[in-house]
Amino acid sequence: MYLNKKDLSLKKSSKYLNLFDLGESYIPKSVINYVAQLDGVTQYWQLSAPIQLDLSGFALEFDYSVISQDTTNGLFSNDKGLGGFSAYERVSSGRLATFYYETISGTLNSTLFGSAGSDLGLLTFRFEKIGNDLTVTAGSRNITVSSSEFTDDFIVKFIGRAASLYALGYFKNFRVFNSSSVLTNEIPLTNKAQGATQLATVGSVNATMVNYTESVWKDESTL
Amino acid sequence: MSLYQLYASIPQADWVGGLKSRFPQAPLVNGYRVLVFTNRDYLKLAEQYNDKDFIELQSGDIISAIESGQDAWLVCDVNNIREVIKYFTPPELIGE
Repeated sequence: MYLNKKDLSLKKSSKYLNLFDLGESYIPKSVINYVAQLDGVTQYWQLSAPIQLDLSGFALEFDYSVISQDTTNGLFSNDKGLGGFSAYERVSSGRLATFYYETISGTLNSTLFGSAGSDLGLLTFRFEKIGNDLTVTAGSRNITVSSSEFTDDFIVKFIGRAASLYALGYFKNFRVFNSSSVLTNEIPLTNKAQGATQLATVGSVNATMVNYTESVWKDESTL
Repeated sequence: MSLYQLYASIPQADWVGGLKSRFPQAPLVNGYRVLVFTNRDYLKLAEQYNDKDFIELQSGDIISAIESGQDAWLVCDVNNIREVIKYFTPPELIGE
C-alpha cells in the first residue's frame, strides 16, 4: 500500500510522529577523524612563516604515518633543502630500518632498527634539544647526539618535505615547545572543513598544502 | 562519486599561458608542469581546454612522450606519476 499526500499529512499529525523522529535522531553517528594524505611527489605543507625554534632548547614533535613502502620520506626542513636542520625517514623491507637527519655541517645518521611491523603505522616523532644534546625519538625508539655540530639556525618551514624528498603519508598534531616547555605552536592538520590552509590552534603560523585537492582527506580509520 | 587525484603533465608553455595562477606550484619535470586535480575536475578541465589533446597513459609512455616533447596533456594516476617524477628527478642520494 502506498501513501498518498493525504496519508502523509495524517501521519505527520500523528502523536506518534515525534517518537518516530526522536528515534531517527538517536541513531548514533560515528565521528570521522580526517587526515590529509600526502601523495609523496607533489604535496607538502608550507608554513605561513618560518618557525624559529628556541636556540636555547626546544621540542618539535608531530605524528606521522610510517608505511611499509620502500620510500624515503622528507619529514620537515627549512627551505635550504637538505643543508639545514631537516629530517627524513626510510622504511626498508618492512622495517623502520634507518632514520636520518642532516645538519649544515654534514649528515648525521641515526639508526633505529625496528622489528618487522613494530615501527610501522602512526608514530610520534620528537626532536628535542636540551643543552647540547639533541634527542630524536620515533615511536618507542630514540637516540641522542650532540648538537654541537649544528651550525644551523633551526628554522622549520616545510612539513612533509626535505629538498626533493616528499613524504608519502599523513601528518597531524604538529607542535613546537620552547626551552621552558611552553607550547608555542600547534597545527592539528586535521580540519577537513578548513581545506588547504590549516589554522594554528596555538601561535599564529598556519600551514598550507601545496598542490592541494579536496581528495587528500581520508578517514584515518581506513588507512 | 569516489574522489581521487589525477595528474596531467603539460608543456611548460601551456602552464605559463594560462594555468600558472591556478596551479602556481605545479612541479617542473623535464620541461613539463605536473598539475594535480581530482577526477571530478577532470571533465571541467578537459572542457575548458578543449583545444588540447588529453591522453591517458602509463608511466613508460608518459616518459617517452615527455622525452620526445609532445604537445599533448599526459594524464595518469598517482602511482604512474610517482614513477615519472622518480625517473626524471631521482631522490637525492642518502647515505646508509
